[in-house]
Amino acid sequence: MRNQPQRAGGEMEELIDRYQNMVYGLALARTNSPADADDVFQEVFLACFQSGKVFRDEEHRKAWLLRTTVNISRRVTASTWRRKTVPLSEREDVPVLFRDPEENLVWEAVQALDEAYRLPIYLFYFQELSTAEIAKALSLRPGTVRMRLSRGRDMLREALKGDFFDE
Amino acid sequence: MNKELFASMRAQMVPSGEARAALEEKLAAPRKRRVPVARYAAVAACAAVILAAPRAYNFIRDSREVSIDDNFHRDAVIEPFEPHSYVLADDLACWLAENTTATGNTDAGKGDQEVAPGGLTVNTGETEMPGGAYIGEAPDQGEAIMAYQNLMARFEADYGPNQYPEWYGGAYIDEYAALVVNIAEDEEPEGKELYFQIQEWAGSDRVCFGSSRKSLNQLRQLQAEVMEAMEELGLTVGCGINEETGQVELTLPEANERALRQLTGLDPEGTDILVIVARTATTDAEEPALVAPSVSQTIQPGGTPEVPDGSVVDEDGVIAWEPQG
Repeated sequence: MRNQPQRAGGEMEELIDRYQNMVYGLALARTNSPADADDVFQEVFLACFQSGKVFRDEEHRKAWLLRTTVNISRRVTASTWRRKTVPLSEREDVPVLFRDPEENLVWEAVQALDEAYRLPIYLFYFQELSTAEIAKALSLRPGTVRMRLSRGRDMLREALKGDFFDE
Repeated sequence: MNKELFASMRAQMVPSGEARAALEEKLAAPRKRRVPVARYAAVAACAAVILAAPRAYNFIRDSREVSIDDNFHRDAVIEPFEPHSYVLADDLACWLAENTTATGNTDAGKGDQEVAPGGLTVNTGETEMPGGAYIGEAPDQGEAIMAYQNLMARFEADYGPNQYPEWYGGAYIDEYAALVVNIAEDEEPEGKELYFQIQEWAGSDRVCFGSSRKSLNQLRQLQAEVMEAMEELGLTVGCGINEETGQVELTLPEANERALRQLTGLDPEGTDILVIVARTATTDAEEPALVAPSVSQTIQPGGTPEVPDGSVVDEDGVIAWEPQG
């Protein structure tokens, strides 16, 4: 088993390159705000670097990044200080815009889902994680993940009037 | 399946260039390790406990010792006083007979004396006249007794039963059959009005006056305290007030050190309590006289406590009570 401590410099940049889309995408799915997702992205990798955590393997590192992203995203969106001190009118948030209108339609439908269904759907279809990986990242049982995926698909099928999300 | 759709969307979900640049700048900055304040605080607390433990232990130990000492004082388990002085009586029955006469026998020093701790002496019973017999004519005590009864009646009328004025230090009949009324030293009047008043109450101008260290009320209080202390120790004792000497007389069956220490606490100067320890003079341990009599607190002139059978040694015309056997 190989320990993989984080080091600043090229190794860290390589790590960021490898996982930045995963971290940012999950943060965006969780916050639906590019600015917040940027913040979460920075905090996650800073935490990874500063903690000096040693990972057993790559799977362990990936699971840790996912779990940390969920936690930091929750903290950012639930921050009382943030909600009270930054008026909505002054937020520099811009809507998440994809190039294709169909992509925006799908994204809006995903964002309309409750968080309990939204994250498993995103991780399963956009990040192509297995139910076991999703269960580990979200601290759920695999059966629960499968159930939420099934219900989420039903809701999206209803919302999108089409089978964008098949099994 | 819309893998292409999802892949396209995933490819567009990348952090902004500013965010990436800011992250790289933060990562390039000198790494600031968080100061583990909680860890340092815990270590400091442990160190403080370790350093303070010996002092705390010593403090608690000293406090407990003081507390234990206080308890001992309060419970009188260990008395802080020296034992009270006492006198030995070879034969308690004989001693009682020789020292409880209505005339207030003051000739105890004429007989053999035992010197007990404290230098006090007591008549051992062997007087110049064998058996303590009195030879000669006895003065008539009738007038003195009547005067005493008149005085007591006056006190009862003015103060209530068994209540006495603070100046009253007791009374006894001397060897000339005169009633002597003691006046407490602290209450002695400057004028002579009180003395004339007492003679008037007594109905006799033969009433004489003496002085005592304590009033009879104080002696009674002391007597009650002595009895209570002895009862707490589980001792059966005899205790009475000798109004002639102005002392509480306590008879102990043996020289109990705890009792003597308690008595020193009640009588630090050793002047107000006369402790008499019965010393076994015969080989018969069942001799009734050797068992400490239960003396009531009834006060009689001349300091005559009740004898164990309840009778009072106050017979008219009796000058000396001859011991039996």
